[in-house]
Amino acid sequence: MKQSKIIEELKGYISREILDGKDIGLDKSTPLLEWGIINSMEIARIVSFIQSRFHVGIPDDKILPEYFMNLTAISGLVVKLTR
Amino acid sequence: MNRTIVSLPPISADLLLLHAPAIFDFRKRRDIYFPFLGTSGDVPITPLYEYFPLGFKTLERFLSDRGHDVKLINLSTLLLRYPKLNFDELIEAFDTKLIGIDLHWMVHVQGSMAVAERIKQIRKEVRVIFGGISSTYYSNEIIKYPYIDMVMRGYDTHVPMSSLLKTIKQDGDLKTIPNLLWKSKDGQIYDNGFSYTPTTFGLGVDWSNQPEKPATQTLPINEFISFVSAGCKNHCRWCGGSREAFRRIFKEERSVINKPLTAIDYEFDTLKKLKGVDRYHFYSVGSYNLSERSLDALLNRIEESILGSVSYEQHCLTSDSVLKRMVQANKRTIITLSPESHDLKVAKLAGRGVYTNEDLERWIKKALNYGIYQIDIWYFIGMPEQDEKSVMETIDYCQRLLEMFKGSPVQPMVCPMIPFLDPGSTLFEYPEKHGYRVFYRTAEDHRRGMERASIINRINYETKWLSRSDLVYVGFKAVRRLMEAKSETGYLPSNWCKDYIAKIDDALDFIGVVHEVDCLEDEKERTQELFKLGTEILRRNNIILYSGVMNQAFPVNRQIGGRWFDELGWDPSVLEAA
Repeated sequence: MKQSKIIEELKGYISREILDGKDIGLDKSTPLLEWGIINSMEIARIVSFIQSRFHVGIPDDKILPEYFMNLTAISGLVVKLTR
Repeated sequence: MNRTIVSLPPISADLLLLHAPAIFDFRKRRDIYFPFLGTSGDVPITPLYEYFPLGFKTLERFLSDRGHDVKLINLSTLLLRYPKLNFDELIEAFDTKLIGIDLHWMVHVQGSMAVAERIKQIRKEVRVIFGGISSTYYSNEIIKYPYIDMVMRGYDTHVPMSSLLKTIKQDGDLKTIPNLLWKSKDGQIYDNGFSYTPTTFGLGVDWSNQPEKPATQTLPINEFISFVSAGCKNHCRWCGGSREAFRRIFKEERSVINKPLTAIDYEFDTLKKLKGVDRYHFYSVGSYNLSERSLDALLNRIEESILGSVSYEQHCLTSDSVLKRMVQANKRTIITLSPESHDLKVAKLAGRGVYTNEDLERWIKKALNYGIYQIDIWYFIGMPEQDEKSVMETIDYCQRLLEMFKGSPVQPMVCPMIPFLDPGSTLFEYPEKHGYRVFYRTAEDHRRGMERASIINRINYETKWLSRSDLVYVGFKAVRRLMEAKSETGYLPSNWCKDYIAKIDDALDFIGVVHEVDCLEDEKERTQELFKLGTEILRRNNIILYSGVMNQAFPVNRQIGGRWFDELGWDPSVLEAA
C-alpha cells in the first residue's frame, strides 16, 4: 500500500475518532505529539486501528516519539513494517 | 576512555525529605523476587513504588515560604536511574540536621527503615523523622526503632513541621511541637499529644516546575494528581483511607477534611506557568468527596485551563448534569469507576455496590453520548465472599463490556489487592468478622514480610475464599484473561497483549519456583536454596526494574524520569559524572 493512502486513512481515523470531526487543518506534518493531539491513550487506539486496517502489528519497541510525531512518521513505520 | 569519577557535591537543606524504594537495597537483593505485575493498578511505577505522598510537595512549599530550605530526593527513582551510585557516599553528601522519610503506604516499610538505619549508621548526628498515614498508625511502635528519632503524626503536618524546624534551628524545646512523638538523646520517648487537627487539609501544590525529563526515546509520562481532601465520605472496607479508617487512625470525629478552594485555585494558577501543560493529564483523586460548590469551582478552573486530559474518580454513577459540565470543561474527560466486582453482593461487602451492571451499561452509553472521552472501570481481587469462580465471572463481565462497547474507549481493568491489606482498614481491624486472616499485624511483621523472597509470602492477608497463593495465581490469571479479551476485541493491539501475556506466564512459572524454596521450613536449607536461585532472581529483577514502566492501560515500557515525583536532588549532569 502506498504511503499517501495510509496517510489519508490515518488522517480520517484521527479526525473522526480522536478529534471528533473537528477540523484543525490536520495534514501529514501536523505535530501530533507536540500539539497534544495524541498521547499514550490515543497511540494504543491508533496501533489497534493500524493492525485491523493494514494487518500490521507495531511492536512495543517501536512505540517511540520519532514514529508518532506526525502522519508521515506513522505511515513511514507502517510501510517499513510491511516490507 | 577512562571516566573521571567525582563524588557528589553536598546537598544542603534544613530538611531533606527522602522517599525510599519499597525494598532497600533492591540493587543487591538476590533473595527477593519482584515479578512482572507485582504492582497492580495503572500507576506508571515499578514494584519499588516510586510514588511519594503528595504531602512532600506541599511541605516543600509551605516550609520554604516560611524561610526553611527543604529539598526532596526520590531515592527510588535516583537509584533506578543511576544504579551505580554509592549509597554511603550519597548519605555523606547530605548536609542537613534533619531527614524526613515517608512511611505513608505500608509497602515502603522495609525500604524506609533500611534507609533510616543506614543513615544513622553513617551519620549519627542527623536526626530522622518519619511521617505519613502508616507512620501515624504505627507511631508507638516505630519510635522504638533505634534509627527513628521522631514521628510526626497527622493528616496535615505543615504547621507542626514548621514549628519543628524553627525549634531545631533555635535549639529549642521539642516538647512544644504538637503531634510529635520523639526520643531524647538518652533514648527517652516523649509523646507531645495529637492536638493539631486542622479543619482544612493541606495546601496547593506548585506544579509550575516538573522534574527534568530524561533524554529519552520513549514516550514521556506527563501526568500529575490532585487530592481534594483527606479521608473519605465512603467506607470501602479494604481501604486505609476510608471514612472509618480515617476516624480510627486520626482519632477524628470527622471523616473528610477538605482542601480549601484557595488551594485548588493556587494549583491551577501554577499550571498556567507549566510548559506544555496542554500535553499533561490531570488526575483528580477522590473527586467524589467534593461538595457541589467545590466541584463546580474545580470544573470552572479546569475549563479555564488548557490541560490535555482530565480523570475523575467517581464512587457513584455521575449525574447527567455533571457529565455535561465535565465535557464542557475538558473535551478529554475520563471517568474512573471502581465497582470492584460485577457481583453486587461482593461489591456491597467491599463498600461499593451502589449501582447494578444494568445501571452501569445504561450510564456508559449515556456518558459516551455526552462526549466523555474514556471510561475506566476497575475490578478488585481479594474482596469479601469473592472466590475464584466469582473473579472469573467478573472477567466474563469485562469481556461483555468490551464486546458491548467495541470501538469505544471503555476500558475494564482488574487487579489483585497485593501485597497488603491496609492497616487501619475495617477488614484489617476486624478480619475474622469479615472472613479474613491477617498474617502481619505489627510494623515489624510487615517489614519482615516484605523481605520474603516469594510475593505470595509477602501478602499480609488471605480470605476464606482466596488463599494468599490464590490471590496471586487467580489474580494473574484474571489479568491474563482480560488481556486476551482486549486482544480479541481489538481494544489493544494483539501483539502488545501477546507480549504482556508472555510476561505473566513467565512470572507465574518463576513465582512457583521461588515460592517453593521460600516455603522450606529449615532456615539454613532455605537460605542455601535461595542463594542458588540468586543469580536468576537478580537477572529477572533487573529486567523488571530497569526496562521502564508499563501498566494494564498502556502495556508498553516507558523510561523512568520526569514524572512529577521523580525528584533527583542533584542535576542529572552531576549524577552522570558521579
